[in-house]
Amino acid sequence: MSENKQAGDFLRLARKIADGEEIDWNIEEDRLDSPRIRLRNLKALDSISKVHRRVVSVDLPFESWGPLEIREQIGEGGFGRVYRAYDRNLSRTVALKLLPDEQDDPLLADLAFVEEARRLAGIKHPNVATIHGVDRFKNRSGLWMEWLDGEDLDSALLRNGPFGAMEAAAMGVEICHALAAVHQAELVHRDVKLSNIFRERGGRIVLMDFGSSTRQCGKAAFDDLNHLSGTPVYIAPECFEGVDSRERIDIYSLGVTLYRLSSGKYPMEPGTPDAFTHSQLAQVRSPPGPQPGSPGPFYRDRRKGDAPRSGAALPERRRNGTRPDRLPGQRPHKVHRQPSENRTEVVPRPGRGGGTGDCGSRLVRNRSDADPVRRRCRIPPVER
Amino acid sequence: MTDPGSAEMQPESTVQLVQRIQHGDSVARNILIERYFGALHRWARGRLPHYARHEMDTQDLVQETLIRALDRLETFESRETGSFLAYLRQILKNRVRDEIRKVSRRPRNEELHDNIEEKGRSPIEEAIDRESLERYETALARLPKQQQAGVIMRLELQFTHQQVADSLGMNSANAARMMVSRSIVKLTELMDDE
Repeated sequence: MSENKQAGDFLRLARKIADGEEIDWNIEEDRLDSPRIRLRNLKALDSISKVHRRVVSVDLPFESWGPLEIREQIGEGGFGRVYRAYDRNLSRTVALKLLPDEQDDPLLADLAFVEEARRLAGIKHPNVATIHGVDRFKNRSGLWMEWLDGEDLDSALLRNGPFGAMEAAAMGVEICHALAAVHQAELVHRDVKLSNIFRERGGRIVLMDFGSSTRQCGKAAFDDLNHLSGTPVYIAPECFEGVDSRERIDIYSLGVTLYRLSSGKYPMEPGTPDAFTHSQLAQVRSPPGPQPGSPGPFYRDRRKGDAPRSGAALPERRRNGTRPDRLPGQRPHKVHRQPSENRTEVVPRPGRGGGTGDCGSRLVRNRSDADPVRRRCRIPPVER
Repeated sequence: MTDPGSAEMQPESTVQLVQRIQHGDSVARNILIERYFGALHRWARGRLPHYARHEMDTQDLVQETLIRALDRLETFESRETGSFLAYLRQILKNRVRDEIRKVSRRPRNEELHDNIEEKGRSPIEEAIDRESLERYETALARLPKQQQAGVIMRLELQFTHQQVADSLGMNSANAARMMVSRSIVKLTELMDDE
């Protein structure tokens, strides 16, 4: 091989390194008849360039934040960014959520953030993400919680397609337990969806992201359509009319979640926001019939066989509690086998804040009590 | 100094900025900090092991080093293109090394810090063996200053070819690309001599 050819080959590879292009060194080593040591040097320079590219592409706000060392960004949203971090004091990996540094109203944002952390801290349940702390360092508020090793159900669905009936049902049971715990803590999650549910490697199901949650007795999360929180296709139709049916919002989202989990589809396909709002409102007036490919195991109304009960368009037709009473192939629990005429259907009462005035998330409800006024009520109805 | 009447808004080279700073120009000082701070911050992060980072944020470390280097600019005499970046990199490298030594000497609470993650090397050391890294450093120091700066900017700081051209006062991105490519070839030869 001539020296010129060798020099030309080296310059070609050097240009690739300078341009940051990928080089297949196995092919180049076979092709080039150059001294091994010089090829090794070129490879070392390529590695130097690559590792710097990797380091440069990680744009972290800080190396450390309070007791935590920030390692890498793992997520981003309107709420800020989520990082994998390392708690030096306790020698464990955690997930750190940092508020963006630029806020319209920093004080209000901080208060809301602390409130989110406190809400989360109020729930102790294996199917709900555990918070470890909330604080403010370097002018940035953040909360950190347990590190979950696995993937969210949305990613799992996109990767593998819909889950089998039994697997979906088993996960559904755990999601219901998580949501029951949330409601028992007198909270409404308001953003139940597949991407907010995590499945750890061991199979544990964890409900997370309480950024949209509110207290059941607190102010509604929205005053008009511009202030709706959550993801449109998961939002209960009554929300589009400004009715806050409290925990029943979560029940609707749960229905959509379970539907998508087992079918890979949404009960209604999302379109433009306007069209979607319109179709959601139309659904209130006329619940859709069964769709081809709709999921079998979940919540089909046994009396009419149409819409899944948890995903029913009308809040009063929606299941009240989140306790899963039946798995496919299982006999239903006796406590829920009340005669249908004795079931209490709760209708939002006009002039009473649109809320039911009822703790609908109780694990066991007295369904035989037909009079809503006589039903056990732990939270006073919200007055307008 | 750039000609104010010049039609092309070509950014000032680092040599020009250094000269302006030496004459007390605070605007030039800010431009230079802006040009290098982010890149040097990431560069330093790649060279600090995790255990050394919490003692002092890399950001603070780079800021302090950069400001100290600029404060001493009156004693910096080289007008050779690329020499300022080589100088800056050298003092930052020393500062990073000192920081690692300082943290390593400090008695550490083994109960708290015995996690395997804490004993790791820097990201650069994890990716390249120490011997190759040393041969690279020695060969880099033997390159002419402009080529040295070109390699540092492109390979280490990940500047674009255009940014390399702007910093070194070259005519085009392509000229910078050719210069960096040739410098890489030269480096492989110099690494051989070790």
